[in-house]
Amino acid sequence: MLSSPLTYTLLGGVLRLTRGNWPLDAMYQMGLFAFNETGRAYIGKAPVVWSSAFFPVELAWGLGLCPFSPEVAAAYIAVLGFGEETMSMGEQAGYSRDICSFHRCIAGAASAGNLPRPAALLASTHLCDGAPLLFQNLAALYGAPLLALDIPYNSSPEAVRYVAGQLEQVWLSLADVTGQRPDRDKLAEAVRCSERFRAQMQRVNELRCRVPSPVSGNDMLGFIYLFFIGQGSREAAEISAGLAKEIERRVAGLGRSGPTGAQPEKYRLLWMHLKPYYNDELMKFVEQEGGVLAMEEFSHVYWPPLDPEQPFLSLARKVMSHFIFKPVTERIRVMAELARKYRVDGIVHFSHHGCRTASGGALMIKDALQDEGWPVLVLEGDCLDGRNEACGGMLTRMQAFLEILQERKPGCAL
Amino acid sequence: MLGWVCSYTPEEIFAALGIRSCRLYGGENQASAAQYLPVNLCPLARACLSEGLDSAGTGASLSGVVLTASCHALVHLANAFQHARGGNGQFFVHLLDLPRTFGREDEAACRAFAATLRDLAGRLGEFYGVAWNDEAFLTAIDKQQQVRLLLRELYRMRRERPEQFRAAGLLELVRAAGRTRKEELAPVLSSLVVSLQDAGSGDNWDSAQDGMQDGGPAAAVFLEHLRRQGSPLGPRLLVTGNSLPPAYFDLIEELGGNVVGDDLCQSYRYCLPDTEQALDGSGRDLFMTLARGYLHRPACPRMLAGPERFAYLQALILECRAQGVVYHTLKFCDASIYDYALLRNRFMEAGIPVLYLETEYRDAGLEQARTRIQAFLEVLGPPDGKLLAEGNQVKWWTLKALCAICCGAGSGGTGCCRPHSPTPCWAGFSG
Repeated sequence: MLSSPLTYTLLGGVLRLTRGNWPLDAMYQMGLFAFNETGRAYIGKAPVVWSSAFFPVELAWGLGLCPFSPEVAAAYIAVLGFGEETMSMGEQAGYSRDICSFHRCIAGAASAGNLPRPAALLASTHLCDGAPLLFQNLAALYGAPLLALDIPYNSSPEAVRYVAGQLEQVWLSLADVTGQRPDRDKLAEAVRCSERFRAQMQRVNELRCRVPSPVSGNDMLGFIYLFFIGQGSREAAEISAGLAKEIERRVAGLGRSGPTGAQPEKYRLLWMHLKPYYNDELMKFVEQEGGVLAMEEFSHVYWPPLDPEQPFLSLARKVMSHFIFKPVTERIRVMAELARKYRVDGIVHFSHHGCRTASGGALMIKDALQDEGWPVLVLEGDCLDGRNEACGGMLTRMQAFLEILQERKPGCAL
Repeated sequence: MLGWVCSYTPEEIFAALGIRSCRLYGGENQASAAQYLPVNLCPLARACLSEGLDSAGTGASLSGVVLTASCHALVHLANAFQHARGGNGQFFVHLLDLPRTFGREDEAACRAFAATLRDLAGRLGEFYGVAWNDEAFLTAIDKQQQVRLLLRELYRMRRERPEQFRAAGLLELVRAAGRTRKEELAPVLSSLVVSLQDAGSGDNWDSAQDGMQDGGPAAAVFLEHLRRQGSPLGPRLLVTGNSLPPAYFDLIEELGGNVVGDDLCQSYRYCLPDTEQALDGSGRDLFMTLARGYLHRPACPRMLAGPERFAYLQALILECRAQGVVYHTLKFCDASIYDYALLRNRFMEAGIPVLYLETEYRDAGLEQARTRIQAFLEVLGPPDGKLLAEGNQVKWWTLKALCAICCGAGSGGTGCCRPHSPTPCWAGFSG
């Protein structure tokens, strides 16, 4: 069913009927883009390449390929309610429950033959230890090559050249494996699109400094699809431009206003890492209590402008500039800066159980940010796997945190 | 005193600068780490942090740490040291980039690693106020290589006479090597090797003890620790995966297993870097030679060299004449968990029995491990059984029982690790 064009024709029609129900038109456009790309991958209209989160996917767009993000697919599997079953299959394939649930879900879906067959798998080593290892295993399963990027921790000029050299090599290998001609003009165009996306998302983030927040951060977390897989595509550039315009209109008092309209904004939060996808109780609870995600760590545009004339060096600098792949003091500095800029009341670190990168530093981050006067909640949970935790416990902790924020408000009677 | 953890850390650079170094292994107590690292992070990293912060023990003598960016547990270990002790600039914290080799001899990766080694030497020299000296570097490389070769010889002897060697004793010896000046250790090891060679394959350990002249009391102590009590004739095993605490080696032997080889970071892998080529000519780039020596050795699970790694392990199994493999993972160690998921299938396809053993790097799990190891050894049978790695078929019921171990429940049918597969995991081996 997944590889039948009819499926996408029918579901596409249904999706178009829902346009008016989306909180942002840009979200609808992104949904349509994701849906079309998923169809393209399953139907096999172009060679499919799997890309791990944070891999510079511009290389694939520049070759006219069909990039596919299994991590995003895993999130959708959880949203659709198939998460537990799929993760169990991953566990039976040998993956312990101690690893990232996204990866168990991918392993399970792959072993069941539910993911589009890749012509190659792209992974970078810098922000996740598990993804390149999983991709290595799945490359063996599919008999497809793994093209991996080794990213050094220290970004000296020599290290940047080392990464740029690898990027060029991966680009050439990818062209070879997929039978495409490596065209530098097309690659430059992909980098140009990526730069337009960067500039537009920066504009969006500037607009989001307004109080009250013109857009829901929970909705903005949905744009992770564009961050993970869209950069380098014409569509991502256009959708981000549309999003910026839409928020501009809101700020100007035109069109729909406010993130939800349900509750007045009581608490402005900076949200670190992702959120639970297997159910939306936590995020609904935050909104019901008047909490707004004023900014999210994953929406932050951290990388410098890209130069289409120097694609490999530009992409190397982009990849290496991620603030999480630096001493934890850098992540603390960036979070404190965002907390000030977005005038938040508190910071929530959603500690995804299997993520060593993000969770490993959570206690030190909490310690340092609290020293700077920011209330911080480290909320242990899992993005996809609800079997390990009772949601009630998370809600209680969140409620207690929001009460603390309330007590800190000027004029509080306590 | 500089602390370090990963066996890709170039001790030669510390020695060349005259800086004492001490490999951190961590102990049972991980309490001091709780303030900095969450419980769902590598227990080895947490144990090493606790050891490094212990003001009454190792931590008191540490003036810095050099950690490799091998995985995010070690990255956060560096962060935690910086957070806890690095604030005043009096404690040296350095995170060394360690390229992935992707299972190939990658010259660009070696050049990148050489550059980071050169950078490390510069930073250490600056922090400790020591000038760099190429001659001292060459001497340090020479001594380190001598120690590695002597240790490898002990491993070779253990492979031939496992009934005489206590596996945990050899592990303790290698652990000691990571904390001792190599010019002091080399004569001790040399004395040990000569005495044990002279003692031959008979039960002549007393004569080996008598025969040691140059090693001094240290050699006698090591020899006593290396000596295995009793000579059980259990199955020959290879241990791979994560570093396994010594008590588990003793447990395997207590239950009748013979550890004939390993591929562990704190054990045999420490002896593998080969830097002999640095010593045979002048004018070479010693940093590049060192980088090649470290990166060209067989890859560890973190290196993304799965297929090559399996080929290496398969060769090691044949070399050691191992009948089965114990794959040890530390809880929350991504590198080994993903590695096992890949290797498990390869081992099964090759007919190599594997026991999956997970620990929290503490002796607390010994009794749980006892049952699993016991069952595994019973399945493998005596050491004169046929070698699975040579492609011999085994009886179906043996593999059915193996599945029970691999899955941790039941045998065959519903207990099989492949419940969704039309055939159980042992079906392909039915004789």
